[in-house]
Amino acid sequence: MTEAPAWQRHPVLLGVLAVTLALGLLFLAHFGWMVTTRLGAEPRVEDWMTPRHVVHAFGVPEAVIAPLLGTPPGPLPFASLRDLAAAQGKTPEALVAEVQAQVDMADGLSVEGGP
Amino acid sequence: MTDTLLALVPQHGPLVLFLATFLSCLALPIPSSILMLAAGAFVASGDLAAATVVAAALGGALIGDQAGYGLGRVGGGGFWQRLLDSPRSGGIARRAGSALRRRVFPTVYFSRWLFSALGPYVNFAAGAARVGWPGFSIASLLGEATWVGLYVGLGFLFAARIETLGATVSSAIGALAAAVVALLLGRMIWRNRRKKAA
Repeated sequence: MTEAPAWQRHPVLLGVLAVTLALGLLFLAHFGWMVTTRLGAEPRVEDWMTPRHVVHAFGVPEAVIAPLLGTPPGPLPFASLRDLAAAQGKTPEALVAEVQAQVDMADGLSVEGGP
Repeated sequence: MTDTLLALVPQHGPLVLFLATFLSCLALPIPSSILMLAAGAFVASGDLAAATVVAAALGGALIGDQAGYGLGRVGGGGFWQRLLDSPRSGGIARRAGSALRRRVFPTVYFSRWLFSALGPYVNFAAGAARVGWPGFSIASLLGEATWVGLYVGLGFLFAARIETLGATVSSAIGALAAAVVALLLGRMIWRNRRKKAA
């Protein structure tokens, strides 16, 4: 009598193995895509970021960001740009665009003034 | 969804981190790794204190691990016994249980951070298979400390790129976890085949 093939003797295990391998390949493909296309891309301002985070991560002076936030003078608030936009009656996209413009301008200045 | 969760960190502070790491240890799909990266970035900018961030993330993860282990120990015993008694799964379950008991430290330690997708299931299986609590807890503490330190540290160092970094690291960990599960399944099938052939 011939031995049954592996897929007939362990159908559940082989099914789980096939799904696991497919998932693993998907993760690997996404990892490869991230490394080759996204990891080197210039980071952008996002609405979850806080003003101090923007200052620290993008190297923009505090004095440039503060006037956009509509908050009283003093230390930058620990609040997301999303919440700060809502407090001013703006959309998060509008405030993010204003902050991004300042970041881009500061970037341009540092490139022009660079060695 | 991730942006909304990230925006909750400035609103609620370390409480969000505590809940995220706690729930992710119970297999709920919460992007706790990216939240820790964001918390690391907020530490770098001076918005949050490092000690508070680490305490909240580590506290949530450790309590989550203990909850998973406890659930396995209390509620998983019957399920585990059924697996052991079944003629189809008995051999595999016995071998899996004894392998987990023999290699409790590496299994629990590495499933906290390197193969973190497997962590919640290891917690439940360790409780159900009655793996010793002290060994489980020490490995859980060291593993979670590595996980929290690694992600908060990466967020601190790469503050401007945490979303990209989070997605890249998550994909790498997902691929690694799938490779480990595939290897274990392949080994089980191979061993069963050899046993039947003998």
